[in-house]
Amino acid sequence: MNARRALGVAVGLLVAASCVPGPFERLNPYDPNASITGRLEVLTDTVSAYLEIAEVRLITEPAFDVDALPPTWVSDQSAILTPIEGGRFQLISTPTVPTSVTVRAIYPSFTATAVIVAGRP
Amino acid sequence: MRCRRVVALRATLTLACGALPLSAQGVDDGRPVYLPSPSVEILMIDRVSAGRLADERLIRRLLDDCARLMPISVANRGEASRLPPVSTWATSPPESWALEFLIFPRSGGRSHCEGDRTAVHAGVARGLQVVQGSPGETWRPVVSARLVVNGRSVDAAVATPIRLRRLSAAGLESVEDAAMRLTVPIDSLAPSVQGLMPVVSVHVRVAGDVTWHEVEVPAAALDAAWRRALPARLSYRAPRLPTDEQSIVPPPARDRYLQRARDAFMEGDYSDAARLALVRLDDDTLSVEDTRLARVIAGLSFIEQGDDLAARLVLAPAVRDEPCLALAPGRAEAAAAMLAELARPAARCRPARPLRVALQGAVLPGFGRPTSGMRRLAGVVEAAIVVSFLARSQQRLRVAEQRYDDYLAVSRLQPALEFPAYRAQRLYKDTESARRAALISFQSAIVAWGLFTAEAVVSELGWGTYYETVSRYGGAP
Repeated sequence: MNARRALGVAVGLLVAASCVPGPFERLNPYDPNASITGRLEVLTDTVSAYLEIAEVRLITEPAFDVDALPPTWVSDQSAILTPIEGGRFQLISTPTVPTSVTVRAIYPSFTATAVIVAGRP
Repeated sequence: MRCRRVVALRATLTLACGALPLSAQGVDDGRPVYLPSPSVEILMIDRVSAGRLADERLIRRLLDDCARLMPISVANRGEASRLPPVSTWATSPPESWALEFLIFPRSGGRSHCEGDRTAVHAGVARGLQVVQGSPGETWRPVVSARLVVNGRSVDAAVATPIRLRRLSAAGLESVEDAAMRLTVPIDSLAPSVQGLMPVVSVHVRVAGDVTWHEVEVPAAALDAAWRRALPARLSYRAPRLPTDEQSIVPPPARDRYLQRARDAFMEGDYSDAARLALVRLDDDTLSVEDTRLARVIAGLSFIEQGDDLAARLVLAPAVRDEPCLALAPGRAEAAAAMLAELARPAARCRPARPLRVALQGAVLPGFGRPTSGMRRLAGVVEAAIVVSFLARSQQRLRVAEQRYDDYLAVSRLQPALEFPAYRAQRLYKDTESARRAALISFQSAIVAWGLFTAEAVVSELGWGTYYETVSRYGGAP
């Protein structure tokens, strides 16, 4: 066997065989140590009518399927604006003065926050 | 008085017969080999060892003593005086050396040869036709016997009947041909070209039975018989005609007795050289090099004496131990030809170039071992080790990937007893531990691969050095 060719085959085999990957990325948002960042994009910034729906969308880096891995949605004034599903909040009590309500999408690895104004201006 | 005499005789018998016990199968000390079977019992005696067994007087005394006790009678005592003395057996021409199988019928189901059988059979072996019988005993006479070597009947084996004298319950004697002596020249049981002993069995038929009974002769017993025959064969061969070829110059021996054999060989005294070398071969403490030297000296001496059969027997183990043993070119051509017949082909002995070994080992693990059988086996083992490391690496990697998929799928929507955060962390830990195991296995495979390649190169270099000594054996003063 030609020496150069044999060496080439040997190197090729070694390279092909060295396919043990590096550390796997921590990409599950439920993992407290995951390296994920996220923010809430407000689609409806003001709600005034009774039972009106305000909507926010969770944007993450890196992206993942939020429907499959949903966060826990919370509102700091749930008596006014209560979470219903998938980033949607419903006005269940109309305040007499406009009130800023903070809504959050909570994962063990990060929390995204947004503000929605409830009540007539 | 009579009682005291019997006690004294019994003591003498025990002492004398006890000093010459019959051996179990596969003896190596010159004693007869006892080969029992359900229908007959066989005693294998080689003439050299029978000659060593005892002197004439001792055998006669044993027979007389045993005859009074057993009773045993000697049918042809008068002829005994015409037999050659014991000492001549060991020095008779090699063509007459034979193995004898004395085949006795079982007497009424019990062993016919119990008690002082050594004395009895020694007497039979000497041609005395000793007869043993107890009153009223019955037996089924041996009617035919033949010797089968490697599945073929040996024409040179001669079967002659032995007369046994039977005592009836009434005290009357009758004589009949009930036992058999099977004599075969030892050269008919020659080892194979590779020095392996043949498969030998005695086939016997007893009266009233149409089937042949087969009794196998242990290879160790044949080997022992041959080894006892070797020294005596030296004396009865005409030296080979001198040729103009250059004689071998054996390397010096560490063992001083073997050195004497070497000196005798160098002086052309082949008989003495072989005798001394054969004696040293019996010493288990002899070093490997000296054992090889002893075998070569003995083998070459036999060749010089024209006894190729004996030479093959002595040289074969040396070649088995070192399959690449070859004499220096142009020396002792007859021996060189015999070694070439026994040894491995030169192509499989010649060491490979280190660079080639390194490259082959780098391409395929364990492949850098092209030369000999054992190293090829080591190569297979090495390849297996590397492949098993790689296989384990792949297997752990698959486990890691499965765990990672599970990790990515952890969601609070899944029904589980664990909190999602805890589950995700646990699965990630499992993933990483499987991945690390895969990495360690892979690194181990690479390290082992490299080490085996390096070791193959080193061992090939070492083999090259060693090969110089065994492939030009006896080539330099």
